[in-house]
Amino acid sequence: MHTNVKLDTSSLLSTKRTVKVLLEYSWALLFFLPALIFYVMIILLPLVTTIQLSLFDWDGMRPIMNFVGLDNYTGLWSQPRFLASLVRTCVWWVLHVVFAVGGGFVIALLIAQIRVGQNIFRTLCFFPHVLSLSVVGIIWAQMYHPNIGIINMTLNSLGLGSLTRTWLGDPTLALPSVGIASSWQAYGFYMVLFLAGLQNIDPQLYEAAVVDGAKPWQRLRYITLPSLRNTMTLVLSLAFINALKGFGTVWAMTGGGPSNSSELVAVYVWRDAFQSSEIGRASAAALTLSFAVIILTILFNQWRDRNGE
Amino acid sequence: MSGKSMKVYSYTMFILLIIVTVATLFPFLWVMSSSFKNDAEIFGSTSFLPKQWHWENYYIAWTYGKFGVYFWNSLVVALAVTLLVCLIACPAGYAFAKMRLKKHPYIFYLILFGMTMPAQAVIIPLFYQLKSYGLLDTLLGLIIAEVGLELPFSIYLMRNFFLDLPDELLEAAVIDGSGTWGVFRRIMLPLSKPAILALAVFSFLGSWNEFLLSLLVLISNEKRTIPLGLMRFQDLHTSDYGVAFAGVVLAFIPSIIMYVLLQRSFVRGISSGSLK
Repeated sequence: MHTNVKLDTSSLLSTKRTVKVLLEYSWALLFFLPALIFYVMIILLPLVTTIQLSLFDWDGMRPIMNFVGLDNYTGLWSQPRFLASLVRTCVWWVLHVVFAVGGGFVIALLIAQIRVGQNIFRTLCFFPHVLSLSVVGIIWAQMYHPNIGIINMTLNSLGLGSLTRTWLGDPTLALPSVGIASSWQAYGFYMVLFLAGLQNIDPQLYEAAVVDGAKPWQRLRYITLPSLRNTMTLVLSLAFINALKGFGTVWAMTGGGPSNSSELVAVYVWRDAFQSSEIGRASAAALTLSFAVIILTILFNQWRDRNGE
Repeated sequence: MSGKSMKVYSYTMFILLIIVTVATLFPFLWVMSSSFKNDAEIFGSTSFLPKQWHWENYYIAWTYGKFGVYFWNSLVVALAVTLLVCLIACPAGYAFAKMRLKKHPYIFYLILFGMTMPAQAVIIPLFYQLKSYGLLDTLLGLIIAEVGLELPFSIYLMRNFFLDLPDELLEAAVIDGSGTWGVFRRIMLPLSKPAILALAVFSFLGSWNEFLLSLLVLISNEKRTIPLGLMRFQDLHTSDYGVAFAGVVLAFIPSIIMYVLLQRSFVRGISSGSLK
């Protein structure tokens, strides 16, 4: 009898506990639900559809889609235009790292050296980053303009008329020209990250180095660079991913031209889908790009975790 | 280093910085000064400042360019996106930081995935989806798409913030008899004001400058936001240079003003959001 009563209360307690846990789960789900709806509608469902579309041949209008298996993918890897856009994306990444990351780093170092006015310089150098990519593209298209652009006009007035170019109309110059415009917009972001990293370095390290008579470049080599290792890996991984996603500036300035010479993978996807109506192939290209971005992000994060601490 | 060479060193740094800053701001200054010139001066003159200030460029750009419409569209979209993102990301971030979802990291990987994935992976079906719901070429369609793609990062940001709040706060409130909603509403939300402000600034400027999705969703001229409207404006004024320059200035002035007003929370948001 006695044992029975005891069993009853404990089972009652455990039911109560189960109800409590269930209630907690329901609350958590309720808090997450609106976000989940958006996630499913705008990310998950379209993503699954992209995967599906990449297996079909479709022009975006006909009611019939032909199942072609992996043909879109194999077709991509044998298409010179797509392969060229991949190579160009790598070139774009190098331009981005050299000018945007490099520029951001050098300017952050300069700002960290001065005592007064750090905030003013940081604020002013960050200005280009708050613009829309289309505005950036249009400002620079005007700077590069063959007749009224400041670049050619300055070269002419300096007597260097032989150096003037149609910057965005020349297939060999279009991509680097757009790359510089894009870096002008992007460097402020990396500069802010580098500055945050620089502010975390113990000033006593520098004081000790000055007492020991270390030259500025020695302080850079032996204190600043090693202390910035974590910031550096973060910035490089962000730069890599941003470069892969590069679209807006190119689209506003050249639209991928002239003769595809500034067509990055993201631009290729857009033109293939919405200008050539090659929905299947464009989907395959979009997924290839996404796959690359996600794999690289995971690798970078693992690298960071291993390098960190 | 002696005091004197220290001084020379910091002066050199200062001058270098001024050069770099002027170079950074130069495109803005050049576009602004050109926006007051007439075509003859844009072609012929080498002087940086206009000889005559042609304010009518702005008048023409404003009246023919529909910048008033573009501005209004941008404002509506950015405000709606900001409001929705804050309302949705706040409880979701909280659910991942302090509620039962905390114990299920795999659901959170979905959020991380959404943050990392490039928009290209979804835009093609999204276009046809919006079309079939009649949301193509509507501001509502653009708002929904932007919120969906903004949310993962926003949830991540809010989760990181709530993770930093001590659990003891929650336990104490539960002992005091507050329910789940009461704890969130009366204790957690008031504490998260700075984080929500940073999130709001982020999503507002992000939406204000958004380009790819606007290009996908908006078609007719009356629906365009500033980034898209400016592109059309430039196409229409390829031979009217002074007016084209004035259009660019009209497009970037609001961003610059907002940034100057909000720059503290913006820059802080970048460093805290990315360094976590």
